[in-house]
Amino acid sequence: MIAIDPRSYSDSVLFAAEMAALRASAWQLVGLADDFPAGGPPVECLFFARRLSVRQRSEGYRGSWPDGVTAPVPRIAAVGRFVFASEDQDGDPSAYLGPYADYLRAISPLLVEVILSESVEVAANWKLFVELTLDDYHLPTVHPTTFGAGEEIASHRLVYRRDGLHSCYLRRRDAHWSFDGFWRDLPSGVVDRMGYKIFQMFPCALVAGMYEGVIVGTVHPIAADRSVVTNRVLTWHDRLTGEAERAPLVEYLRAVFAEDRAACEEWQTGVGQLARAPTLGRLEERVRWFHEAYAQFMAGSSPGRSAPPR
Amino acid sequence: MEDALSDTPHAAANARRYTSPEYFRDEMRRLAAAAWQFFCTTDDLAAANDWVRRSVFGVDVFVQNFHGELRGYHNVCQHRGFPLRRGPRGNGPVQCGFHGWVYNKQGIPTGIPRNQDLFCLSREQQAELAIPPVRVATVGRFVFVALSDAAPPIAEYLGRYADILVALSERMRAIRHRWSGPTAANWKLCFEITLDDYHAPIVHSNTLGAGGQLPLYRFVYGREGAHSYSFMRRDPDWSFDYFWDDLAARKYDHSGYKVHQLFPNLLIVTTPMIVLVSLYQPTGPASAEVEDLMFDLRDNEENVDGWEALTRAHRAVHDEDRVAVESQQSVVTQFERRPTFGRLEERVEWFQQAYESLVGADRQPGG
Repeated sequence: MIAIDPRSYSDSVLFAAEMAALRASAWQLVGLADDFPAGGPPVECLFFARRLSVRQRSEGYRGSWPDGVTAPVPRIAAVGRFVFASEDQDGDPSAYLGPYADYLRAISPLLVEVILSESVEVAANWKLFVELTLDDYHLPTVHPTTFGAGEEIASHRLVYRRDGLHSCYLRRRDAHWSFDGFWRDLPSGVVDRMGYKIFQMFPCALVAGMYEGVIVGTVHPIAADRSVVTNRVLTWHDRLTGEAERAPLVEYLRAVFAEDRAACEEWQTGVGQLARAPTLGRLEERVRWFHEAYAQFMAGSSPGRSAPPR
Repeated sequence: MEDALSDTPHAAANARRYTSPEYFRDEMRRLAAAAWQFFCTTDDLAAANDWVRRSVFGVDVFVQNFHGELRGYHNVCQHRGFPLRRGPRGNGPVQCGFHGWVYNKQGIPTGIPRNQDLFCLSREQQAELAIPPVRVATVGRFVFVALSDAAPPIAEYLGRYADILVALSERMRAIRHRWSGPTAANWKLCFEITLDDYHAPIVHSNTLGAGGQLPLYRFVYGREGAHSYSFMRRDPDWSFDYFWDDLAARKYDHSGYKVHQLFPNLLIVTTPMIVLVSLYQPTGPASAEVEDLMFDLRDNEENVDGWEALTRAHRAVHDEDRVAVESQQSVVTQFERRPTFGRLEERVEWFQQAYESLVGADRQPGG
């Protein structure tokens, strides 16, 4: 398999090159529309190891560098309520996200309140956190009392799908369940909210739809061995209307997020010593896809090479 | 002194040796190819499944008691690169905390959760995923680790120090005091100050050096391969012949003050009351971790008050050394000439010669 160079998890020179490549061609989720009030002052956010100011004007979103960076200012564009940035002056996030853009647009009007918002600096490379969220094998060990409690999910219940650089996880209700209807309905704005679904948008954002609402997670790289992990939980308009219903979910998810962060920080201390390609099983298939997407993206975004695959 | 860097401006050489990340990485590789590092004492590995984890020349390693047999491995799960051992020591089977892979004493993952469902790895394929081993050697109660087959056998590496460690182990009780802490200086500076008997009245004016300079006849230095010692004479005619004679009978004379330095980074101090084992671990080009293990001696009376005063005094001396070497680190790149070694710094010079000889620091980084 194609494996990510283990040095890239800690080497600052490789990190700088990686960030430059991602800024040039990838679209990063920098926030939700509510973060940038129309006509309000610029709001700072993180964009591939740089600080970026974003403001919303009547003509759309505008970005600027608050630190006097002389590089081209990234373009800012929204997909539903999800705001993305990229230095790619020609592309647009909808094309970059493919069918996941339809999902983001479809769920945007259905989301109401943010019931959990946290942003925590983690002593780990951003890719480890992404890989952890793509991995369904670690749940019983890293989350023994939360996500991984109880019986393991039979692998036939999990459907993985690869969409260019991105991938998703869909949980079947039974062995014969089909998601054809889900994908067919999305472009018309109809979204099946039943069942757990995770959409990973390359390189470092995810939206996980669950019964109560969605988790919006972003890993912001800030150094080769440090990242800022942002998680927000928004409820569906017709779910969890009372505080008493929300509190247990918030507590539960806080625990899950903390377990993931602790695991990544431990992982950071060992990953550079693995002298072989990782051994990935069926529940880690999306990790393999991420490694392949990363390798393709980095090769494609090198000067004189073809554009990254869409 | 002979300096392999004699054709290099000394300030530039110092900048490399004491501050350069590239030099540090290369230095760790060269040490790994040539040297053994003290790892722990068998006290920490007494029971089945006891394990100790530490860095050996920049490589995260654990050593475990597999039902009486000590084996060591790189501390990394071969599945995804997660550290197998978390924390400095503990007890339990080798099981990864990420996905639960369990390894046997050969380092082979024999317990892979849902292997048939998810991986279908045969026994042969599992054997191919064995954790890279390290060499482990026990001398008396001292456990050493070498990362490379190129390092000589431990008996050859230690020379007469093998006898010293065996004899020393006889009267050491269990670990009485354990301490570790960081120093913002290159590990070589941290270690060299322990080889230097000239600085005591200045750096330790209220502790170790409070009595001023001692007469030169008190210091007897000896060199054993890459290692060295300093024994304190009682009078000008005192001989240590008996010390070496006793060793043959596995007896260590604990009278007087004796200091042993084992290349590259182990210090052992013995007095009539204690044995102090200090490891100067490199953690970066300008940082080190010092770990102390203190033992009292069998047949000595328990003296809790005296023990506490002793550990306090040792901490004070250590802190004085730490402040001194951190100051030295701050100007090391401005030092534009070779050091001038006097008679009380003879062992520093020996250490630098051993370093050049064994680690080949005259080579360019990456060479």
